[in-house]
Amino acid sequence: MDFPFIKEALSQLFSKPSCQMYVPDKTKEGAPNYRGRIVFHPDKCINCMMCERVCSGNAITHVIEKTPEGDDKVTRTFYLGSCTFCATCMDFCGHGAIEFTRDYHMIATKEEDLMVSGTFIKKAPVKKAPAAKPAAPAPAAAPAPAEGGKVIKPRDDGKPVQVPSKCVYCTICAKKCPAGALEVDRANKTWKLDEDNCVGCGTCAEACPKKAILMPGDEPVTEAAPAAPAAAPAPKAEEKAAPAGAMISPREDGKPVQVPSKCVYCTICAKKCPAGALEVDRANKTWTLDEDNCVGCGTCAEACPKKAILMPGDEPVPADAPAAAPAPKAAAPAAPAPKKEEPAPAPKAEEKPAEPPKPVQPRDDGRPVQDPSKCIYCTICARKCPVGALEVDRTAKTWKLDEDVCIGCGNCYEVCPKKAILL
Amino acid sequence: MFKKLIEESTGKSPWLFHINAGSCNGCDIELVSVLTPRYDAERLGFKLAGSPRHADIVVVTGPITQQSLPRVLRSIEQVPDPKCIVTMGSCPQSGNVFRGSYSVAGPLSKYVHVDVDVAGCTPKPEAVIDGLYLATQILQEKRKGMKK
Repeated sequence: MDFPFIKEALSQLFSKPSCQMYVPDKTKEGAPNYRGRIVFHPDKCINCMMCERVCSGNAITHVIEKTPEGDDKVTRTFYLGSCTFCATCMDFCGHGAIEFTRDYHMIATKEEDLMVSGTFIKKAPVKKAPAAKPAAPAPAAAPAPAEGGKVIKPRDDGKPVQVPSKCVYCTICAKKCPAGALEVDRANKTWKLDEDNCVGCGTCAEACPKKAILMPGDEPVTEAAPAAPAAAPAPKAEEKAAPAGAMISPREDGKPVQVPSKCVYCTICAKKCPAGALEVDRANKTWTLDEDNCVGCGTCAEACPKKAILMPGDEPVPADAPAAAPAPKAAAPAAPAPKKEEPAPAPKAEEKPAEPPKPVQPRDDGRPVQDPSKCIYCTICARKCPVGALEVDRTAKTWKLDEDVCIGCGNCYEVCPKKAILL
Repeated sequence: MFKKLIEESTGKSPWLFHINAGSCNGCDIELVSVLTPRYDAERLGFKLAGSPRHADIVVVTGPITQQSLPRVLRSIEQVPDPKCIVTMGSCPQSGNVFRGSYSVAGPLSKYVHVDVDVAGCTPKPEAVIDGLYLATQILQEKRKGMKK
């Protein structure tokens, strides 16, 4: 008689079972890098609210109470019953105030047992400080370009300071501020910091393309008042004195030039400008180009119904057209039109024949391809990319696509003013 | 004598009934792994019942969708008293990432009394066993309360 497996069956009776013993031991931890119970360090938190913004389960909340001293008493609560333990909050916390432990024993009979919270006091900004901050507390008054030779120092309390002579009021800092503490008005040239909301994270200074924001640790800047703000109008004044009958030539730097004799100030160019760099006033007959914001895309020239905007490669045009000759002259003193007389009408002559012979084929994976012959590196595609997969350098003339990040949405294709992106 | 024996034993072998109320399947898989030889909750007396009428402990996973809500409540009503309701994972406790969706009716505590919450997304099997162990203790207390 044969008994199959009789040996195994008998030996199993006396061997240790393969299952894990159940030990009601609360000190047991998960594997390394296991994300369990959250620990919040209120002393490190600066209340920038990034964690609350990125939390997909809305598990993080806060309550702000005012203390008698006028400070904010912030209580931040993590509800583990709504947490996915994705650790995005930890990743986004710039100050390491959120920590995931390996404790997985999150058993509760009441909702309160799953709450992790911490309280800290956020000091209200010091309103009056003697002599320490020369330019800082007056950001509203900053745009006054009269204060020449002033030294702008970074503040002691970790908050940003604007350098008015460098600032172009592009509003990027205000858009990037995670706390919404900056208010920048491009038209009125004002830069306002909300002292109560500013968390001193330094995002504005990093985002500033002109390095016009100082953070603690930066070098003080001497404000050369006449240099920057006056630089732009100065050459225009000379140009206005140009003799009658002069020719208006396109500029060499790729930016548009207005032909006042043809322009009817219809404002179409300003409306179409993707960078918002044009300001046209129909009543006062002014056409102003914001040199810092203009990307040279040429959309204005294409949109102009009167062909009154010259782009590189266009033919020079006589400044005073036969009939309308006196009109622009009369308007000229009131209108600082940035027309520039440049006698070299063939700036693009060397570039043009070199580029067209390369035919660019669209890719078959749905991702964009750049046509270098058409691309003007205006960076609009990179700015509109929802995932930040494009890196365009205007000065170095590079166009880089991060293939791993690109989702092939086609936004870049749609916004390209030059149709230089193939899909 | 037999009555006393039955009472003692029922407390030591609570049967589970698992309700999936729109779960992503993560918690369901983890609940099954609790019963596998590695963690072996069956050795502690837990047994997955096929019908709510046989169950002592109800384990709910998922954010309670509009579709599943009437079925969940009906199944819970069918469980004989004393019963213990355990929510597993973050979803039935708050809705988790599905919170605010048009099709989510949760959290479960809006409709029935929840005895034990096992937090995690998904909880570790050890944590689930901890939660079930706590549920058996609550169940014993309820049973004593019913006798009085």
